[in-house]
Amino acid sequence: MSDSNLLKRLASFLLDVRTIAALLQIAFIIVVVAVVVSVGDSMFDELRRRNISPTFNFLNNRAGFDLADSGDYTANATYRDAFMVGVRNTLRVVVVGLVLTTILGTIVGICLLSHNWLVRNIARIYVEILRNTPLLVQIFVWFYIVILPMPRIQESIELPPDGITVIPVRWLLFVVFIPLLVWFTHRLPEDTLARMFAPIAGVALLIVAEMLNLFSMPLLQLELQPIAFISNRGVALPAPVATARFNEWLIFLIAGFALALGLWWFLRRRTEQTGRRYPSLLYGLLVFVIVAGAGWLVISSRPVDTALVTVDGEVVEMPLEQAREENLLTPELERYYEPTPLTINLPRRAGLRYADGMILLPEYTALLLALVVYTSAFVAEIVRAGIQAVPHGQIEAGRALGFNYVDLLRLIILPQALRVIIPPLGNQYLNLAKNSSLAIAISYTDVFQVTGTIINQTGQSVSGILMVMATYLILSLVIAALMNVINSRFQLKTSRTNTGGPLARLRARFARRASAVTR
Amino acid sequence: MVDAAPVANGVSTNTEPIIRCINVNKWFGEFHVLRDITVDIYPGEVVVIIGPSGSGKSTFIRCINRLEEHQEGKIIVDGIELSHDVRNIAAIRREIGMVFQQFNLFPHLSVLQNIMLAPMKVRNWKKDRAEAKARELLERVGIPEQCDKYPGQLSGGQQQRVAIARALAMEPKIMLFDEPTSALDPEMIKEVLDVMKELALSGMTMIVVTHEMGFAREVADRVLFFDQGRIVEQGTPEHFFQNAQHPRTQLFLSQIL
Repeated sequence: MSDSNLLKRLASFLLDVRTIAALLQIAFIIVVVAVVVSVGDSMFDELRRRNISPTFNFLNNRAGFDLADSGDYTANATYRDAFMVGVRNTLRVVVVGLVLTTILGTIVGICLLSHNWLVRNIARIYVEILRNTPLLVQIFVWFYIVILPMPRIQESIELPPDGITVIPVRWLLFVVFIPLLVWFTHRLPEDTLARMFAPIAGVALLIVAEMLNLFSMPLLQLELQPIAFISNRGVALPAPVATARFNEWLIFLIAGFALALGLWWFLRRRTEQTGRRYPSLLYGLLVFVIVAGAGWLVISSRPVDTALVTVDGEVVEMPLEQAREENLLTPELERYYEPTPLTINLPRRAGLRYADGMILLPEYTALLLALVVYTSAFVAEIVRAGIQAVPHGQIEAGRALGFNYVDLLRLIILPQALRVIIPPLGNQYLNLAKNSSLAIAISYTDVFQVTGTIINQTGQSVSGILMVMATYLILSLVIAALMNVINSRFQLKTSRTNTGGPLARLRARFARRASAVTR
Repeated sequence: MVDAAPVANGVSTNTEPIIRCINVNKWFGEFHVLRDITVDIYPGEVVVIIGPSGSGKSTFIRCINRLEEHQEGKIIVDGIELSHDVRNIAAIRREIGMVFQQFNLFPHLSVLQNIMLAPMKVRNWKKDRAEAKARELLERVGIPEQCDKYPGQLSGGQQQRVAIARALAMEPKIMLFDEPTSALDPEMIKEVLDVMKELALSGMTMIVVTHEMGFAREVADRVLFFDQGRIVEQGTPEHFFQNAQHPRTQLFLSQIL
């Protein structure tokens, strides 16, 4: 009697769906562990037999090879330093690429929905060409067809052109006359001949003046120095450089930011309380600019007295003038002891290369352009789909309530479109990050290319590949985590969603338990 | 403005009409949706528009707040003529509330935020005032306890009542209802119609496109029957349901009653 009872209970325990689910989980874990252990075991055995057991000791050895775009790195540095140069270069491409892709993709995506036939179709062609050709091919096109055929460095394109630049009166005319014409036209009564013909007459006047060459006399003659160069050796741009006093200015920057934030918050509260709307963002920006500008002036007004210089391998503090007279100041130090918080480091040509400034190598430029342009085509489609996914009824409801176009976009369409846009956008961000490894095709020194060289020299292929994989994995996980945080902010609440985050859920659980206890 | 105008036989006698439509024509491509619609609507009047689908009922009321553009004729709302001038369109939309068949609540905002958004951003009310108004209106439509929920967490009838509250929050002079109960389960229709009846009794000017004949009979001051873009027949509910003259009206009524 009791035996059969026990058997029954055992059967009902074993056939319970919850038991079955738990047992299946356990079985699955056992299988996975077994596979990993046996594969790993035989791999390490094989590697030991060939005497290439993976270690990471080689990282401290001298690398002995040069790298382009490597900052302070020299051939005497270690493999670890070389690897970090690769990581830094990958990050440089990925971070800049993500920002530019988002901007370009959003613009193209909005163009895909334009009411203007020409704009819409140009955007459509752009997207279709870019997303239907391989990225590798596009990288080659940018590198070999766009960047390398640029002029030689001796004939660099200079921005602005070196020497005297003439600005004709015509420019002033365009800047002043055309807005005046628009303003005047809008003041005329609607549906009249005058209103129809005023703009035509205005433009005709401009054309006649242009044909008679009336306004080509110079308004200004500027003597300009180039601040940027473009050639097949890459792009050289001016770069801001912090001086000894940058930290003082940073305090002003932080104070200005805090003040701006405070003002913005205060104005928003005011709007809630009184209903009056303020351009709070503009005011905040203005306060920040004023504080930062005042800080700049205050700091720059004091002359720099002393400098730290190296004399016979020892760091000594001495008056700036004395250091200058004793020729202890390199151009870098000279810049470092300027009275302003920042100096602009202008690029210049030094023989067959650029010096100073910020120099973008042709490989970097080509890779960045290719990744940005290629990924922007996908982002554009995601943005278009996101905006189209907002039901038309939402727009009608907003219009019926009297919202103007900007508020409609900002308060109603965008929050709902972002909900649809963000998850696939995160995928495209991950694609861009991983596709950056195609740098190897044009020998840009990213983490994959550098590690390739390290593996060739040391034979440590397993360690090298593990390091590369770990780098991309960490990068991808960081991007994915950020996108998840953003995504959770835009999720819609329905009857099935838990309102609030994990903390709120935990609190709710404790509240339930507490109430159960008191009962 | 909102106090009930003297209405006799569905036609007001001594007040100015709040909506005047004069020979309104509209085409969708080749299709002539509205043909010479001429009608005056007086303050406090409840006008119910019925007719077969595709007869231009919805298009007509959507023209009144410029969700659709009419191509010929004049529409004058509260003394302002609908033109291409954005200021006129904005001014008219502020005075007209609209309730849609599909509710069209903003799913990313809570019930309270849905109601408060337009008064704060369009009318520039302060937050306290908008919130007080929103709570008062939720009380009026009978769901004050739902104020912190999101539209996706409400039933259809509750959503439509929130939509009515949202439109009323702008304190409109006129309310347009575009088949407000057509997307609802039968047992939820009554709760929405009750709110609309209460609104009609309070003296609101209402134009209602609906298939609810009971509502038309009980609440309407005037019934307009649309067919093929024309107002075929109009009159008081008594006239309309018992003594319809036009054969098309008689056919329609015989099929639905």
